[in-house]
Parts: sequence; C-alpha cells; structure tokens
Amino acid sequence: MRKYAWRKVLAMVLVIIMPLTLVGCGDNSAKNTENYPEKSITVIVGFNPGGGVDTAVRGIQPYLQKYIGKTILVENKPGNQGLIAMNYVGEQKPDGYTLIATTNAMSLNAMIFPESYKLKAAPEEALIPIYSWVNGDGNGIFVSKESPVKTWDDLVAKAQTEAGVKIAGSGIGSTDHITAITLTKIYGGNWVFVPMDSAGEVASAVLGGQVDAGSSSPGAASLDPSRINMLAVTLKERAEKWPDAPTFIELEKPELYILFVVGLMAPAGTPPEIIDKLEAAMDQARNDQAFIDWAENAKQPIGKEGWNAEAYKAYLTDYQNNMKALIPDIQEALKAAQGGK
Amino acid sequence: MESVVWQGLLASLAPTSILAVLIGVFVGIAVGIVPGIGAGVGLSLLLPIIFNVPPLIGLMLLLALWASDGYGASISSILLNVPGGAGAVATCFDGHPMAQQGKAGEAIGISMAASMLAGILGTFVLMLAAPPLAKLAVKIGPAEYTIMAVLGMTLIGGMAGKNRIKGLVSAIIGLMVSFIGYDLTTGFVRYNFGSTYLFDGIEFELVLIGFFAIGELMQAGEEGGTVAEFGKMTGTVLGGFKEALKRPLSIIRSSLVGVVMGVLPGIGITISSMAAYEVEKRFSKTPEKFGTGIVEGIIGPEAANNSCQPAALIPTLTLGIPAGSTSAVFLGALIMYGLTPGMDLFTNKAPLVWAMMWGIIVASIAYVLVGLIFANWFAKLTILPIEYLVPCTLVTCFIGAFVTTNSFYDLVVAFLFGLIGYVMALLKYPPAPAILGVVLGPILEKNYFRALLLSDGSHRVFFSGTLAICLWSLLALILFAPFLFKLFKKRRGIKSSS
Repeated sequence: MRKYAWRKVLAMVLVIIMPLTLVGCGDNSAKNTENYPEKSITVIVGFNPGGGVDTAVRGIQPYLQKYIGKTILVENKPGNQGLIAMNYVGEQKPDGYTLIATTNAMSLNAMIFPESYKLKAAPEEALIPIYSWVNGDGNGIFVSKESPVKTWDDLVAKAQTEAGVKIAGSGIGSTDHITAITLTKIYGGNWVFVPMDSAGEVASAVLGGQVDAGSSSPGAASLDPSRINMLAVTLKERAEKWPDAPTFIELEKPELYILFVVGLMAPAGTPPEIIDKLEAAMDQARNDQAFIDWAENAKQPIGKEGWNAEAYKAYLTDYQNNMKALIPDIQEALKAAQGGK
Repeated sequence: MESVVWQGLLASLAPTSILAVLIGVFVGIAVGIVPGIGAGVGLSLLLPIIFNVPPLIGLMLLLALWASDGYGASISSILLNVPGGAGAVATCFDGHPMAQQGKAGEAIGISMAASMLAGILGTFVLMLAAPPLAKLAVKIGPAEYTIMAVLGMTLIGGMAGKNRIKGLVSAIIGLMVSFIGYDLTTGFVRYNFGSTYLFDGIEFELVLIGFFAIGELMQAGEEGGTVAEFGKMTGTVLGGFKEALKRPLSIIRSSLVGVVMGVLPGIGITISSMAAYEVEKRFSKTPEKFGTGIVEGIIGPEAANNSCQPAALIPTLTLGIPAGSTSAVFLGALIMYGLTPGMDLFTNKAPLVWAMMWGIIVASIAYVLVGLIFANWFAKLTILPIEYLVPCTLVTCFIGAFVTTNSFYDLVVAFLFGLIGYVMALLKYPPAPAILGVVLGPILEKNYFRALLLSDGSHRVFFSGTLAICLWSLLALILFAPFLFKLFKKRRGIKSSS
C-alpha cells in the first residue's frame, strides 16, 4: 500500500471539483417588473420526462418562448406525487422566473399527505394560477373487450356481488384511486383498489385479466380502443376516442366530474403585472395554429379552449371544494389499507 | 409487406438516418460509460432537443443511444470494476479479472461481439413475433411475478463468491434499502427518518454509484498501482471478438434470457444480465472458473442486457405498455410525435416502424465500428496509475448522481452509500447481491401484496395456474439439482466400482 496515494486522490478530486462549484453562480437579481422578462424563465415539472404533464409542457414550450421573448427552461423535479416540485417552487422568489407546471390533483395531494407538504401557506394559496392549456382529459373506468362485463350497469351489478370488483389504478392517492373511492361512496358494494405503478401496468393487468376493471385517463396511450372497452368517463362531454362511453353526468352522478388539468402557476406574491404578461403569452401560445396542430397530431387532450387565470382559478376552487368533502373518506381508505397489512 | 420491410431498411440507411445513429451511438457510449447515468437519463436529456426533428431521425437517434448504452456501460465494468449502468453489474465479475490479467482489450472485444449479436437477435424477435409475445406477457400476473422474484433471489448464491453468508448479508442490506419510502400498496411511508426526501425511496442509481463506484474505488485508490501490469498487455479487441464468435450457443442462450426478461414489464436489464450469468455458469463444464476472467462470464450478461432493449420495445410498441423506465421515456417520445402505439402503428405507420427496427440493427453495427476505433485506447486506461484514474471516475460518478434528479440530497445519499460500500469492501462483503436486493425488493413486495389483494387474502393464489406450478418446479430444480446430480454421480461411481 502506498502511503501518499490517498493524498493524491483527494488533491485530484479537489482540483476537479473547484471549477465546477463556480458553475451556476451568477447575478440572479432582476427587480423591474416592467421590463419582465429580462432573462430565461424556468418551468419546474414535478413528474418524470415523457409523462403526461411533461409532454404537455414540452409541447407548449417553443410557443411560449416565441411570445414571451425569452428562453423557457423546463426542469423535472419528480417525487412525492409532484409535491417535491410544489415545495420547491413555493419557496422561490416570486419574481416570475421560477414557475411550476402541474395538475389539479397536486393541491389535493398536499391535503391527503400533509406530511409531504412543507410550505407555510395553505396548499390552495401557495401558488397563483396563470393559465391552463390542457383540460380535456379526466378519468375513465374500463374493462377488456374479452371481459363478460359489457356496460357500466354490469360493472355496478358485479360490485354488489360477493366477489366484488377488483379495480386497478396507478398509485395510492392518485386521481385513479380517488375515482375508485368516490365510486365506492356513491354506488356502494365491494370495490377493491389494486395499486399499480403506471397507466401502462394498469392496462396490462386489465388486458391480462388479472383485475376486473381499470381506472386511467381515457386519453392514455396504453388504452387501445380495439382491445379496451371504456364503460364511463368523468368528463363533461363524451370523449372523441370513446364515443360509446357515457359521462357520469349522463349517468346522473355529477360528483364524478373529474378533469385532468395541466396549467402554469407562480409562487404566491408574484406581482400581478408579471402574471398578466405570462397569461397573455400563454394564451397566444395556446392558440398558435402550430401548437394546435401538434396537439391534435400527438392526441394531447388540450380541450376546446385554454383557460385564463380567472377560469383556471374558478375550476380549481370548485374542484378543491368538491374534493375536500372526500378527504376524510380517502384518508380512511388509506388507513384501512395500511391496517389490513 | 415485403416492400414495407424493404422501405424501412432503405429509410434506416439514408444519410440523415446514419448521421442520427452515429450521434446516438456517441452519446450512448458516453452515458453508458458514466456510472449512474444510463439510457433513461440520456433519452430524457435528448427528448426536448429532438422535438423539432422529424420523427424518423429523432427516434433513430434515441434508439441508437439506447442500444449503445449497454456496450458503453460494460467498458467501465471491465476497466474499473465499476458498472457503467444497471445492466453491467454482472459484467464486472469476469470482465474486470480479465482486465487485471492485461486482457482488457480482449474483454471489450467479447463484450462488443456479444452485445451486437444479441441486439440483432433481439431485434429479429421484435420484427417477427411482437404481437403474440406482448399478448403472452400481459397474461403473467402478480402471483407469478412474486414467484419469479423468489427465483431471482437464488441468483445471490451465484454472485456471493467464496463466502455465502457475506453474500446473503449484502443482499439483505439491499432489500432493506429497497423498502425505504412509500409502501406501494398502502401509501404508508416507512424508514424515512422523518425526511420527506426519503418518501420516494432511494434511487437505484445512487446505491449503484455508492456501493460500486465510491466504495470499491476508494479501496482501489488506497492500494494504488495500476489495474493491469505495465508491459503485460496481451489479448486484442479482435481476438476477443473471435473468442465470442466461437461460442454461438452461449450468445443465443443469453440473448434468449434477455428477450424473455425484457418483454416482461418491470423485470429489466439488471436481473436479466445477472440471470444470464447464472445460466451460463450452470451450463458451463467449468463453473468453478467463473469469476476469474472467463469468456462466457462476459458473454452472458452482455448478450442479455443488449437483447433486452429490442424486447422491451415489444409491449411498448404493440400495447403502449412500457416495460421499464427507459421504455417509458421512449413511449413519451412516440406520443410527442403523435404516434399511437398499437395495431394502428404497425399498419398505418409500418414503414416508420420497420425503419426503427432496422435502425437498432444499424446502431448495433455502428457502435461496434465506433468501438473498434476507441477500444484499444480504453484498454490502455488499465495501465494508468490508479491515483489519477480514481478521482476522475469519482467526480464523474458524482456528476452522474446529480444529473439524474438535480437534487443536492442525491449527492449526500450517494456519498453515504459510498461510505457503507467502503466498509463493506474492506470487510470483503460483495456489493453485487446488495444491488440485486435493491432491484428485487419492490418487485417481490408489491406483487406479493397485489396478489393477495386479488385473492382476498388467500395464499392459494401462489399455487394456482400452470405457470405458477412450472415456476415453483424450476425453483426446486435450481435449488436441489446440484445435490441430486452429486448423489446420482456417487451411486454410479459405487456401481461401476463394484
């Protein structure tokens, strides 16, 4: 063993690390709201690259860049169902240079998992809605085409039997899970939620016949209309991809109106002038023909129109109020799952 | 049909496609070599860049990157005993001893040949049998996955080395690490020490960097010297190439292991390459030589992790069900381009699909050609003094850890695992079983509880169905065959002597 080898190793490590520490150190102050934006804007995504929210952000990014006039950097900070990103953005300076792109389920997650939520402000007040450019998808309950269950009524009837309905969805506390809990509350009977890791695994379990039904976004790529039979959707109107699947509003269960809404938000305290500028640029980007063409081609559920700050906030408030009533049920369902183990 | 195949081939050989493949190959080898980042990170970094590129070019770039990542990862395993990626852990077992004997070039040659041929074989399976295989794959349920995870546990014996107990302890450490964070079935958070950072558990890559890169490298740095002795460099890249080609059975066997495990969502390259190593050892006439630098010991994992990639595309392209995290990113790219997986893709977009599949083969050949140019230079790294090699690798590892999620905590976690890994290395606990434990833990746990949810709590579900019975029989065979074989031999010995 050489005596000095260690010192050399350490010295080399230091030599290589030193210049790296300088990377990223620069002047971050930009105070003038009038000249906003003066530098690039970072949009944090709380989910993995290639996922639904990420794809939506990457889709609008070039157009937002075009209309806001500065570079838009997209950064993924996945984890804790998007709450890591929410905690991070909530703590940033409200100067309009760090924004978050997220879904409506996030503030709900903050309420279901209070231990994951680190901000001082209440979840619904920590972030200011700016604009929503994806609001056409929601949740759907589906079975395999090979299943004996053919209609929504068949499935509800099956839930009343002793065997019950085993329903797969991605993750505990996810929108899929919440939909399943709401089903139990409204229809009664025996619904057993089987958590999977992703929408792909849910489709796989349904196609393989391991579960009776699945709960996923009707727009998910893993749901192929030639193999899957969609029974009902949580949307306002029927989905183009599934013309035969009724909405829960048609089935007279308006509580099950759950959308998947992706929007841009800023930390609380961001000056209204900046919000206005971003809102205007987002609206132009959303209505750019090239963006609309891309969304159509990529089958992105952008919905009929973008929602401005007011409409977006109105939906979120409505959604949160609806869901708040469900939180005790959700937490009870979680506890039951944990106690049963 | 034929014309579509032909059109695809021509499209994959167009100058722009070849350029995309070459860029993909260079990036792929680079992300492969760097421990802690692999094809998944490479793909997510390129995803925003290819947004404005036509689908064929963009997808060829991604596929070439993905295909060559496995080859790049084996280089770090062979030269430094630090796996460049999840699929290259088992490559260390025989690749590094070979490098220590001065035959790094030969080892790289073996890895190249096995990787290329397996990639091509896997792609042929994808071309010929994708739809039926995908249908079969979704039939396998949580109960079967649970038994498969138990089967996976038997791999520990093969990689524990001389001391089985230490191997088991290492595997248990890995399993314990894998249980940190959210319980995937109940949402219950355990072993997080009150920290929200640990809610999502510990990234597999960080454990890999910590145990292998930091732990083992620190020990190597202490010892100093060089990996191989100067002036004792024997064995050439081409020689390794020929050695691998002399063993077609090993290549086919290991490629099949890779294909089977690749198709199954959630199994992945780590387990498939370790399983192929074990299969090669069981089929070998000289199993005791495994771990000392044997050709089959490199062919096994390298062939398996490269045939895994095209196989993982089978459920991704036909059903839109990604087989793992890397295929999930690739699926994201398909969706971004407006390509919906499923039958529609194979009928309406057939030329593009065929061009993509040919693209994997073109990429496999391309990384071998690129690899041939660089391999001899890489091999020379083994005669560089370790006190220069180790710090450069360490810093690269930390950058790798940081790139994955941009989180400072990741660096801390990688460092902490490095300390544990260092102590383990000092006490001669093998790190590979720990990696296996980290990978198998969640597969075992979530499938066990899912199976029980589906059976309303009855354990009978694990013993119903033909596949379950077959898997249990295989387990029994693996566990008891060596004893029975010995017993049989003894009896025959007694008979013939009497």
